[in-house]
Amino acid sequence: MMFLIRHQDKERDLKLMHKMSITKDMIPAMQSVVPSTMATVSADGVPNVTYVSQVFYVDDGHVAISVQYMNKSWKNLSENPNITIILTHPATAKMWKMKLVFKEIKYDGPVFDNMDMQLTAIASMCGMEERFKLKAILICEVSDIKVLFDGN
Amino acid sequence: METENTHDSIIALEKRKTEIVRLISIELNKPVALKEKLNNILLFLDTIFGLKHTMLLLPADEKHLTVFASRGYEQKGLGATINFGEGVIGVVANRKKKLRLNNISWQKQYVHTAMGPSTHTIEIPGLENAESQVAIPLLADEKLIAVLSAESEDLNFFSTEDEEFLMTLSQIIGLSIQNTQIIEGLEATVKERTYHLEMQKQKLQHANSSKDRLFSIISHDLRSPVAALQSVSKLMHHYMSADDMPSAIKTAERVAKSTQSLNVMLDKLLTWSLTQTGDIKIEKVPVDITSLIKEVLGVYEDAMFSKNIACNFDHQPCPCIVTADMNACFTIFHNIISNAVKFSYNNGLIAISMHLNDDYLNVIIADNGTGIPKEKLDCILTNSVNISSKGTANEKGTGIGLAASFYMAKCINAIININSSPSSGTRVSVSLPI
Repeated sequence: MMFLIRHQDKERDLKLMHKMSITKDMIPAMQSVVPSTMATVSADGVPNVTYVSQVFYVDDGHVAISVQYMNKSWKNLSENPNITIILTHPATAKMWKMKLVFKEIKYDGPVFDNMDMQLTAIASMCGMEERFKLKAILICEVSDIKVLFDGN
Repeated sequence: METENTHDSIIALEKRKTEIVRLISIELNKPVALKEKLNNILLFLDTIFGLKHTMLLLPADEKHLTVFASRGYEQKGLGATINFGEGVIGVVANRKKKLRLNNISWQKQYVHTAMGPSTHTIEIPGLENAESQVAIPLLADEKLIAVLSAESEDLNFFSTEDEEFLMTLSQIIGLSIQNTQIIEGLEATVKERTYHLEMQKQKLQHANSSKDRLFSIISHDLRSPVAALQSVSKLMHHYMSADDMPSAIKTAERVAKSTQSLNVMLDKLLTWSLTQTGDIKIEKVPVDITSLIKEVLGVYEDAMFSKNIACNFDHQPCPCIVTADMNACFTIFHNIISNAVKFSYNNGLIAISMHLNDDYLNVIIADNGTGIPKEKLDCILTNSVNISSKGTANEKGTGIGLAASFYMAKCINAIININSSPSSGTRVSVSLPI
């Protein structure tokens, strides 16, 4: 569906020349194709790595992470707000390491609703809408992005 | 230079969007039926946006959506339902917010990996291997009018910009569908009311013709015997003044006979008027049909004697009790036996028999009289026209007796069947529920 000219993308690319932001080619990596890996560290330096079902694009400088089953990660974040996420492009396998800073946890609002609708739709298709629920979302600021693998 | 190009592309994009809005507005303003309108919308989206697999679902009730139009599917799936809250479409219907899902199969696989195998999955109309899906609620005044769904087997088929523009279009599409639904609803209401008015008109016409018939009976058939009574009462006065007692007694007998026939006619008119106003009150009590038929035969004893009609009443088993309304039963048998006498020739035969089974008492009244021509019988059975015929001895009729009998039978759940032909007489069967 390519009838529209992607002018917004062009504008976005121009801005990216000046600050560390999410780029257009990273968007497909946030479509929940390949689950992203999220690492957190406790105050005394004990790491925890887990998969997250959704890393949701909020704007060029922010993402939202779904909170479903992350007891250890949540404990770590309450002590240390720094997060590292690995994103993988579903078609090219290009990988990014994105450093984030946890800003706030949200239980409602437009971003929460959107992520919740996506999860509910998928879960209901699998007959698991009662078990697979979104508890909250973590709003995080992007502090650094590095390409780990250029892909095919 | 690059900024200029970007500016030009923005202008071109806005022009394109405006053109699309103009085109779809023209399409939506066409006065067509809802089904055609929905199909046209999907055709438009395919032509302009390249949306190959689309469907429009309308709320069937507060919990279900029904597929009303679809395009690009092997099975059209029309009439298929989706529960609110199930799948992309169901969630959109529930929340009244747009939703775009990409890479659906991977996401489903992730859910299964995280949660284990599911005990059940839902069947949703649409592409079996859909990877991308957009569903948009079509709203009018915050009310869900329909859900537009577009699917693709490609990964990441839909973009945010496309979705936003479809949302813009969704408002005018939703309003247009709602307007068409209102118009079709009004048309259906007008049609329904016209039908009811037509029915009422027919009933009134029937009632009017019945009223005309009543006036005709009152003015002619009823006035004659009253006038005759007036004459014979004067004659009686004359005979008594002249002390001619034998002539006075003979005249008194004629008065009695006239009043009996007048009484029968008044009964019929009263019953008929009650059937016309619907004021009949049915009171079900045990009724001995054998005794009732004997009573009716007693009324016509003289008439049968004068035409030398033999009556064979086989009243075994006796008594035959049914639970019914006494007056209704009397009206039914009174009219049927009256007709049998009226249309029997001199030296004719009337046979009455009764048969009892588990549910019904069947009473058969057969005569070898004039019979009823087919077209007249059809009119009687359809109750379309009140037809009066003179009997074999020029007995007058009202044409309302059988109509009243059928009405009474309906009131007490009885069934009347008539078999008749001009050559073999008439056979009437009355089935009364026990």
